[in-house]
Amino acid sequence: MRKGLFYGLLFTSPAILGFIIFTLGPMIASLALSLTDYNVFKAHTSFVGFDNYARLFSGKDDLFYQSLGITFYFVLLRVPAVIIISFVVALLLNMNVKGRAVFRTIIYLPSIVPAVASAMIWMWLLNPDLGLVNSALSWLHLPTSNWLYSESSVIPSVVLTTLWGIGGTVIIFLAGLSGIPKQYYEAIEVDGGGWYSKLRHITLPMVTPTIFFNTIMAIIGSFQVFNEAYILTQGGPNNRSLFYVFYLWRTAFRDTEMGYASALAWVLFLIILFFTFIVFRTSKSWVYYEGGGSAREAIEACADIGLYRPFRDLRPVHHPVRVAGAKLAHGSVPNLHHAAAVDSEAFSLGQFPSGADGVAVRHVLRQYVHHRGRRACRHGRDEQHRGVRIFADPVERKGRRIRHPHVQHDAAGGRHPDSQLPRMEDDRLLRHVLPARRAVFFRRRHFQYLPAPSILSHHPEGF
Amino acid sequence: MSRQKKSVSIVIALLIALVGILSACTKSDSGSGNSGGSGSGNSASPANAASSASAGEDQSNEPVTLRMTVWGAPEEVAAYKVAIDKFEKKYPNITVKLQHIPTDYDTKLTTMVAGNDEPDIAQMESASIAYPLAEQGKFYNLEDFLSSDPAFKKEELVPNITYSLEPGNVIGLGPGPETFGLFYNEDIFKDAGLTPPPAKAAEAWTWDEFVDVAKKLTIDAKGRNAADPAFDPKNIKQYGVNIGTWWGNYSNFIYSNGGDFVSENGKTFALNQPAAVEAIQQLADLINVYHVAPSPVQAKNIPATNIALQTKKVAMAIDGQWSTAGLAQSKFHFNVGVLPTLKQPMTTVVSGMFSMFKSTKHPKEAWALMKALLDPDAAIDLITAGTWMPAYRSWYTDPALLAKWTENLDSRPSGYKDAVVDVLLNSSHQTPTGYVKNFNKIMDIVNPALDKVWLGQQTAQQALDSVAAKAQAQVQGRRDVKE
Repeated sequence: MRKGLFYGLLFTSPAILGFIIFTLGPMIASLALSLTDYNVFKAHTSFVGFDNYARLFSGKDDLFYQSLGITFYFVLLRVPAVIIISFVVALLLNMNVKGRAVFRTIIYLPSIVPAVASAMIWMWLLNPDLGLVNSALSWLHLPTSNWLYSESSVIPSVVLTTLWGIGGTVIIFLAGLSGIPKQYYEAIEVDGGGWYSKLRHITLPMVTPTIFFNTIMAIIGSFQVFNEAYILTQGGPNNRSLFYVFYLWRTAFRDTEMGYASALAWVLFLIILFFTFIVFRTSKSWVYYEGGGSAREAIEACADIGLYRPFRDLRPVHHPVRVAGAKLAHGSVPNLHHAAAVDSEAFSLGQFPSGADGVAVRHVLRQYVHHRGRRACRHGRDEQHRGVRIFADPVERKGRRIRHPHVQHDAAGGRHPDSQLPRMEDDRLLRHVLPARRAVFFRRRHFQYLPAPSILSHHPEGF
Repeated sequence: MSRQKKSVSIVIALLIALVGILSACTKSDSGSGNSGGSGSGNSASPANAASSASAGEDQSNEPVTLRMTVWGAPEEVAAYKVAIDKFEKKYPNITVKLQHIPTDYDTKLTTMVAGNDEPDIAQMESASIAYPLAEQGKFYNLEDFLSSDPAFKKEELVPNITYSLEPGNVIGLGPGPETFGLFYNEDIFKDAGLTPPPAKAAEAWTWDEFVDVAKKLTIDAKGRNAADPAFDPKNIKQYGVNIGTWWGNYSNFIYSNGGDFVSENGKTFALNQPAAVEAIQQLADLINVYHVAPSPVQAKNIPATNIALQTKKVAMAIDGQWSTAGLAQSKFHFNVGVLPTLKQPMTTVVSGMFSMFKSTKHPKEAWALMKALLDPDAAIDLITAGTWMPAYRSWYTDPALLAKWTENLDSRPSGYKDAVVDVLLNSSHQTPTGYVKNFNKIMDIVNPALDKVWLGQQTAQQALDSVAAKAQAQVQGRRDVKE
């Protein structure tokens, strides 16, 4: 164990050393410097406490507020643009068309062009008088713009120039897209859904981790925008593109006020930290991790031990159903073997045949279970969901009675009047959850045709 | 478990120790050099060093290495090398290491200063970090060398190329002045049947005459000129004049009109005073009222002066005399006239400078090198090519020497002697960067306001009044006024 640790540290030491020497060390140094009046040219540096920060927020430094506002505007404009456009581009590049590799290369190519070179190209393209963009616009009799040279259009223009380099983001989206199992789309086909349903209920939820990652990277990158101001605009016109980092650089290297610039840098660091933190916090409600276990397993367990009774007005699925290569059924799924039973009886999932014919039913069920998640599981409410009317069997927990809103309860409480099922109680639930999880695991191993509950626009943790 | 933790903490401690060692050993050699500079260098008065420099051209023969940083185009660097070779031949014990920093010069030099790794001599720019450095006492006062060196007379230098922190504290010497002129394409004037701009300051165009000619030389896509009522200002093929909207260019006209950047006592922001406002407004009117000059946005399409004149994108251009180097290489008939005047003929003299860092261990040798760099003979290639002008007055007044660099050269057209040489000697003004304290911060406030003036969104009076209070807060006085 110790030996392994030694070699582990030995072999990671280049990275660790690099981090400490070139990142952590300078960071600590700049934090210390931000508390001093360090000016490169001055012989004496003295400790000034939080004076630099006080000066920043005192309102005396107009350019600080100016640059902060402009940078926020830039981030607000660029992050959604980068995410949406690169997602759409990735979707297009993920389509099975001829020459896909060529398109992918073309999209990625600008990312390997040096920033300065691409900035120069954009300067020419956006030139108000001779530029290709304005020439094309005036040829089409569309209004032209002064682009980088007017106060109102300079930030959108800079955003435009950066969108050229979304290749990296697109690649990450493509990786996310190609990681989505085909079965999920097949399940949607079983349900009779089209491209929109696939996009909305499979693709989007499945790439939320990628969106999450790309959003954070885009936020960090956008706050740190510098090259464009340095090369394209020099902060002009009228300081309207004086990005925060450009102002920081100018303070540090033109005015040589390193102490004050360090304070600026730390304020930016805290701002980025804050926004990254916000995104992380909200991520729980919109990012779905397939491997993320607990919620899903518990839901499956919940379904497997028969907490739910489906089966009213099950809408027939009139499609030939293919799942995992086996042609299963024509017509409505419940008609296969258990049509009558489905129509007339209430089943628990445990009773419901888990064979091939149940694929669609199970799928819908899982969807439902997931969709209802915490809410439904706790409150036991009837629900109409994607054509399936499902009753939730009220679950009684210790010390708290769950009442079905639409059903008369008897004096003993909790018994569903029209239920043929035994009451589910907490102890039984607990007794079942763990074995059920194990069962789910094995089923996944051996019964590959079972689509996992993938229709997750959000997933609760447990219930 | 605890053993594991222990070994981890040992490894981390070792890493941190290593970092400490690495960061501590950066540039220890120059660190000691600096301590010599700030400590003993200060106490040993530069005057002593200078007097000993003057006392002995017979310097000791121990080997000395001087480091010098410069910016500039390759041909300028080549000229420096010629001067250095000559210098090294004269002083065999001195080796000069020339460090060429073509881009981000200020950033690089700032970093060198922060790392206690200053060169001995550096080319400096008065508009950027020269004065901030000088204010922190990083430079030798060259006055001590100038006054005590019998082989060198300050009066020998042409006016306005010495830079002083305050009266009596010279921090830099320009290797040569640069003035502004009105460059033009002779063929355009010939074709239009107009008289070209006069070369002699006494005959300089008044502003109205200038505007009149500029109008006739501004041609739209259909061939009409700006004096024509049907003239289309949106499709201009040839501009009458390119004025360039940076402070170097417009300062000429502010001085010509009797204005200034700050008041005479250095206490008041003066760009919003009538004389300066009028000059700036006149220039802005060329763009927005008469449509004879490109706005800053349109000027992005105007190439360098030599190409712009050659390709007839502009008929006249207000530019520094350094552009003659490029003009000489573009084979067409260009000439130079004196700038139009508002009240009196006047040109601003701008120039880089050489400064000596106090951290140098060899002030005598560094001073000798600086003198060698000022010597027009050493830089004759640059001077005849057009980039530079000589630093010594005798090269302007002695006909033989004057002929050396103004006659029979592509870079020196017929109007040059009158429009550039005479104007420099008789009616030149120091660059505002040389005497306005805190110039950068003032201009940080003024420039954005002037952007609006050039674009015609505000009048000069409105724009400058709107920032006057803020600019006034940055006014810290004049360097040529003893406080």
